[in-house]
Amino acid sequence: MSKKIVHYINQFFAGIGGEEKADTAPEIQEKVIGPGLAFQKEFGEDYEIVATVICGDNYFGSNIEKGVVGELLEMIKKYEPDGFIAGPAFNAGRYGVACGTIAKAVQNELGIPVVTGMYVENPGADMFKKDVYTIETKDSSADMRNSVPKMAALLKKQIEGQEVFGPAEEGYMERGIRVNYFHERRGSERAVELIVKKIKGEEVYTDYPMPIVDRVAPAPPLKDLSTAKIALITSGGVVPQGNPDHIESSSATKWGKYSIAGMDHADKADFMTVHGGYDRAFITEDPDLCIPIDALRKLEKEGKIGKLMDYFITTTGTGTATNNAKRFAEEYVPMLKEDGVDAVLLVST
Amino acid sequence: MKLELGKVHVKDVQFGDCTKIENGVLYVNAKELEAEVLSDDRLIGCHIELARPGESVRITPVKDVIEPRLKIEGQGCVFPGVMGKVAEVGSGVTYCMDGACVVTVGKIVGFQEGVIDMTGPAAEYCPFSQTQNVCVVIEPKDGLETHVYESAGRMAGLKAATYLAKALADQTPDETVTYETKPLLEQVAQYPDLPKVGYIHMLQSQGLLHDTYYYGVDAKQIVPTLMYPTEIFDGAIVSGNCVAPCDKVTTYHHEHNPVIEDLFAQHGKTLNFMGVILTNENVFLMDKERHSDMTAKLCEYIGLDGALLTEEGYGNPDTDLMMNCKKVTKRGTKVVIITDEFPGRDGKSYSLADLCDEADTMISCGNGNIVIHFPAMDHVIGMQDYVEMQIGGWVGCKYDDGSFDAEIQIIIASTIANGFNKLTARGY
Amino acid sequence: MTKMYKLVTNNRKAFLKYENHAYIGVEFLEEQDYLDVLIQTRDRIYTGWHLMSHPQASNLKPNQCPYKTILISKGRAAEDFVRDVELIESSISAYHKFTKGMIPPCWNEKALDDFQTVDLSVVESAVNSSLMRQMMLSNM
Repeated sequence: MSKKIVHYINQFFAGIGGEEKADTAPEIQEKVIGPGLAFQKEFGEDYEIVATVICGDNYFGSNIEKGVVGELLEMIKKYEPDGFIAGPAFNAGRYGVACGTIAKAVQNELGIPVVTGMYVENPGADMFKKDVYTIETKDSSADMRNSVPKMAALLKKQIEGQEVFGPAEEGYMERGIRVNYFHERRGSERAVELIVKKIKGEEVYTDYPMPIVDRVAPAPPLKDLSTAKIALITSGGVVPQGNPDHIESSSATKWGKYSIAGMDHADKADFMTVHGGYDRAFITEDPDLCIPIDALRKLEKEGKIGKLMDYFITTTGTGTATNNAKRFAEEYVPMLKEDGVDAVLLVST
Repeated sequence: MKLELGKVHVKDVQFGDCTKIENGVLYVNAKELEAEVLSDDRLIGCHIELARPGESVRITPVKDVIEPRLKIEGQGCVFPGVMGKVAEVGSGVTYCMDGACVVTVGKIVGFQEGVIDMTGPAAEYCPFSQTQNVCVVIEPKDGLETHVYESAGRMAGLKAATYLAKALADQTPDETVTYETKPLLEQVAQYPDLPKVGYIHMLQSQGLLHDTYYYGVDAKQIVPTLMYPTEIFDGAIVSGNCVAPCDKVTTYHHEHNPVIEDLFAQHGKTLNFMGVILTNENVFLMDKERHSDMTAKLCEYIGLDGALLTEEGYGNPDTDLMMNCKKVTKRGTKVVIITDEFPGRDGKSYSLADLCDEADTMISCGNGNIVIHFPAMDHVIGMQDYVEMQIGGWVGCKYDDGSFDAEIQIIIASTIANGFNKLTARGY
Repeated sequence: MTKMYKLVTNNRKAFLKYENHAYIGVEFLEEQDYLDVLIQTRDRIYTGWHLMSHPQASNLKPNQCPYKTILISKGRAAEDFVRDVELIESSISAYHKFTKGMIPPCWNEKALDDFQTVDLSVVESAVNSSLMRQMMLSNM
C-alpha cells in the first residue's frame, strides 16, 4: 500500500485567485492540485497525495484565535496521512507563516513527519525553522523546480526512517540544534591549521557561529521630564473597539496608531484587546492597565511630564517575528521624531 | 629549552611479584603500591584493580587520570613542587609509560564524578577506554574535611604514578620525540618567515574542586606568565579539578596537552611556535579584567601573530575566554578558540555562557548534554550506587539490570575543551 | 553603617561565616533557591549595586548545585552597568537552559553539605583575592 500524503496550499496556488480571494475559508479536496502535481511526480508510485487542504492567507491569519488551525487539523486527520507538506511559500509572508503554523501543528498534534519550504527572508522562516524542517527556497515560484525535489526527498527520508543529514546536505534551514559527530581529525589539529590560515588572511570556518546580538545603545537620559513630550507604545494588543485595522492576535504583521486626544483615561467602551497570549479579562475590563492614560494624564496635570502625545501606537507582541517588530519601529519612529516626541513609554504585557 | 620524551609502549597490565615492565607488559605489585598510597594517614583503605580496553568493566567515580613519567636526565622531578623540590623542569630526558595510566577512584564528595567504560557505546567518547588502567581505589578516614580529602585523593594518584614510574628506569624507549623552544629572540630568528604562534592556556582556578597547580602553586594566585612548552610534559601542571567530568583537564591531559603537541608538529613547517602563556579563570571580576589585560599585553609584547586559546569548564570560564579573545584580538594577535558546548537537553539554546564578536573562529569539542545509554558491565571498579547523583545523571536514570541513561558529560574527558578528541558538533 | 560589600546567598554556610564580618554584609535568602539568588542579585544591580564575583562561578551547572552565593558592592565596580546586566541576565538564561526538561538529581544530606562547602569555597576565592583584601583594608 502506498504512503498517504496531505498537502497544504493557499488560495493562489490552488488557482482560486490572488489577494481578492485571500479570505477563502478552509476546504479540502481529494485530488492533487497545483504544486502537488510536481510533488506527486517526485514521490513516485509508493506515495500518494490523497488530499489537498486549501486556505486563504488572510482567512488563516485572522482566524488563528477562532480555531482555524484546529479546523484544518480535523480535516487532515481524517485521511490518516503518513506525511504532510505545506507550501512551498517562497517569499509570500502570510503564506509562509500559515505553512509554518500548520506544519508545526500537524507535527505536534498528529505526530507525523512534515516539511515546508520558503525563502530565507519570509517571516515564517524565522518563526518556524527551529520547529519544523524548512527547505530554503529562492524568493519566487520560479524556484519550484529546485525546491520540490528537496522537500519531497526530506519528507520521504523521515517517513522511511532514514537518517536526516545536516542543513548543507538536505537543503533545510539550520534549526539551531547542536548535534555531535566524530571528525576524522582531532580538534587541536584543526585549530592549529585554522590559526595559520587566519594569520595569512585565508578563508577560515567556525564550528560554532556566534549568535548575532542586535544591541541597541541606550539613549541619553532626558534633560527635563517636566517639558518632555511623551508617547505611549504597547505590544499588549489594545486597539479601538472593533479592531478597525485587523491587527492580528498573534504573530502580528502590522501596527496601529490611534487617537487618545481629550481622553482622561482608557475606557472599555472605546478600547478592547486582541492579544492572544494572556488572559484578556482584566484589560478588557480596564484598558488603562495596558495603556495607562489615567496615570499619564495625572502626571501631565501635576507638571511632572510636559505633554502626553495625543495618539498611541499598538501591536501584538506574542509570536511576532523579530524582523517584523524591527520593521514596525523603522516605520513609526520617523513619525514620532517629526511630531517632536522626546521619549516613549513602552508597555508590555 | 629542549626535552627528549622517551616513550615506553605498554600493551598490557598484570599483577606481579615485583613492579616492572617486560616485553611491553606492566607488572604491578599491588601490595607495595597499596602501602605507598596508605602511607597517607588521611586514607584508611586502598586497593588496586586493573582495567584493560575491551573488558566489560566500568570505573566510577573517577577523580584523576595520570600517566607515569620519570625524569632520566636534567634537573627536577616529574610533578615538581608536589612530588619533590620546586625546581624548573622541561629540559633533558623524560621517559613516559605510553599506554598505561593511573586512575584514582573513590567517593570524592557527596556528589560524584565521572565514568570510564572499557567497552560499549560510552567507550567511544573516552580516551581512557583505550589505555591500560591501574585503578587506585581509595577510602578516606571518616569525617575528613572536604578540602583535606580532596588533597588526599589528589596526592594518592600522584604517589601511585610516581611509584609505577620507577619501573621506567631500566627501559629503552620504543619511540623518542624531541621538543625544543629557544629563548624568544633566537626562536624568532630560527624561522623568520613563518607566522609566530603562541598558546594561551587558561587554568581552572575557581576554588575547592576547581583548582589547578603550577609547580605546586594554586593557579588562582598566579598572574599571567610565560612558560616553555616542554615544562608541561614534565608535570609542571597538576589537576585538582573534580567537577564536570566531561571537560575536566586531567593531569594526563596536561602531560599530553594536544595543542602543544600539535603546535610542535607544525613547528618549523607552517608556523613558529613561540611559547605558552598561562593564565587563570578567577571568579573575582577585577582579576578577570586584570588578567585578560595582562594576557593581551604578553601576546603583543612577544610579538605573536596568532594564538590558540583554550579553557577548562563552563560558565565563569567562558567570560575569561571571551575577554581574552576580545582583548588579544584588539591588540593585534589573531585568535582561534577551542571549547565544548552545553546547549541544553534539546540542543537549541546558546552553547556558551558568554560571547563576543571577535570569537569568530571556534573549534567545538562536542555537545555535553547529549544523552546515551550505558549498558550494564560485568564488573564495576568503585561503585555505581551514585549514578543518579553524578553530574549528567538524574533521578530515575538507573535501571534494575545495572544499566543507566546519562548525558555524556558524565564520561571523563568526553568533551574535553582542548581538542584532545575527535568529537565535535554542528548545527542541524 | 551599611557595608560596602554584600553576599547574596541561599547557602547557610556562607551566611554563618560572614554574618558578623567587618566589611561584608549578608543577604541570606533562607529556603530560597538558586534562581531566587540570581533574581535578587539582578534587582540589586538595577538599584545601584555592582557584581564583584561572576554569577556563574563554579563548574557546577544550575541544575547540579542548589546553592549560589554572589559578591556585590555598592561603590566599587569591576564592569560597567550594561556589562553587569549582561552577566546576570545570561546567568538567568543559563539557569533556564539547564533546568528546562531536566530532572534534578535527588541529593542526600552529605551531598547538600558538600555543595555548600564548594559554593562557599568558590565565592571565597573572590573574597580572598589579593585585590579584594586590599580594598577592604583601605576601606575602599
